[in-house]
Amino acid sequence: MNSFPVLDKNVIDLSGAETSANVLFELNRILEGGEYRGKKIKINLADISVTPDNMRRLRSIVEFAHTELEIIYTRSLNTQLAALSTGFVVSEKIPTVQEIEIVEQTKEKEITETSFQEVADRYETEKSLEELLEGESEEDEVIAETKTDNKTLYITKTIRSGNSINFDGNVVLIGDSHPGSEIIASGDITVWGILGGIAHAGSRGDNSSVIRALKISAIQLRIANLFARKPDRIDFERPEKTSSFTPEEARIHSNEIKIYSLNG
Amino acid sequence: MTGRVIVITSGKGGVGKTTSCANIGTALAKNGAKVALIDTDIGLRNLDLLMGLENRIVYTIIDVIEERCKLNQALVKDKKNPNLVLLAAAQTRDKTALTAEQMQDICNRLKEEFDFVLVDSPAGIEQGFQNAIAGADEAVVVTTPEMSAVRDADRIIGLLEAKEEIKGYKLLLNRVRPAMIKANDMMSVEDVTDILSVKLIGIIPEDEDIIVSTNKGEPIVNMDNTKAGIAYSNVARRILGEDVPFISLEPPTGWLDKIKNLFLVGANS
Repeated sequence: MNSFPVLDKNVIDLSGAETSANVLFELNRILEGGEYRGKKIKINLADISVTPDNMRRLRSIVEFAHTELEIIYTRSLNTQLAALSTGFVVSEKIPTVQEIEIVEQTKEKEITETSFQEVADRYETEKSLEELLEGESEEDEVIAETKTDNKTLYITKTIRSGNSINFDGNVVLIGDSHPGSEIIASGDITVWGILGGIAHAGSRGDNSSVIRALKISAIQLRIANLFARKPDRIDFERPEKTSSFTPEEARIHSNEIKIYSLNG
Repeated sequence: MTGRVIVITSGKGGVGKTTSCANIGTALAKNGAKVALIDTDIGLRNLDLLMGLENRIVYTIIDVIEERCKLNQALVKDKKNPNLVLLAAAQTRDKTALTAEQMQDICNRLKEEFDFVLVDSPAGIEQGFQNAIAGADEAVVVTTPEMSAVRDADRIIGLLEAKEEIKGYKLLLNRVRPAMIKANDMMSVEDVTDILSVKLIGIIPEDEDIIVSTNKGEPIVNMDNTKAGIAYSNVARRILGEDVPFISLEPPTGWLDKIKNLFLVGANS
């Protein structure tokens, strides 16, 4: 089923291939004509599951045709992970328009050391997960839909400069994100490590999205259509060390991105 | 037993890839290994200059792949050490003259005859770099203790990680100035390894004798008693499996660093 409006000629739609063996066969057939030689392409794999081995074969096919693969569109989690570990950029959906207009609000990052109480209050109004599971009122069910219905991409490796993760849902990264990397999620972003690269939560406009990390050291934080940058450094910046974690959460409050300490 | 193909790369230009390739290769050969050096910087070749072999080049790697000569006709023997040969790059062509498959083929043929094949990579992440890593089993990533070099090294390591033929990579920290580190004006060794999450193969101090050695066309490991020469010899010994301690530039590690090791996700051993 091809329901994606195709934007440009360089998107190769392989969603009709059904199996990954067919994907490789079709891609090879399309590329061996030579018309994409020296050009960049994008591939749509829809729901097809591609193993890491086949993803490497796909890379070989692309390299052999002297073509550059810019991005793979796929809804399959397995394919996303295989593509990411092969070094490709992935995305859930083909964007139809410029997704977010990033308003030129250069807000300085405010580290508001709030007490744990303020944070706890916020959690109370949304109800804890235990209450959601036990509770029977309609109210509880509505909240369950908005926050826990999102899919979550769970990655257990450190992402380096040049790596890009783009996901429709929440992203959990167990590891660090190095400066030069990007995490773009329509939901929340949680980094169990040092967040050093760019993080964009609520990429489709959800300004209740949050960005959390054991240490927020991001070059830029973006939530929905607001962004905040790291303050300019006066002195030479020492790198973040893993021995000094300070769990923090960034979210929008009064139309600004604020960072809350989760340490109390 | 087939030899080890090690690519010496960095991302950033001018950090010391070619100097490191020349010196590590020479040091390995002095230890008795049979070593082949390959210069893949087609169009901007420098490895032959540093080895002092520029005048002796008749055939280059491009002549080999275009079949104007046999592979062993293009291998130039080192002036001092018969165990060491150089496969030079062509100066009159550019990086599009070589493909990854051709490079792989040459590396496979050389590793049958040599214990070590060291591939000197050009700067960047494009075709030149892709060619250089095409036949490699291992990598040495060279960087200096500066933010721009370290960022580029991080990018390169990301690209190396995605290539599963490369089974291991280590960091070579070059042009280190202990006095500046003590004065807090330069990143320390620990700062760099913390940012990159990668194991160290060597620390080479800044040494004016490098300039002398380059101009003479004589690798610094052949000059007596130089700081950088000794450091490069140590790198060769570590590659050969010996456990050589690093020159100590900082105070001993404490318990905080042991906790840090729990969080080094993705570090390569």
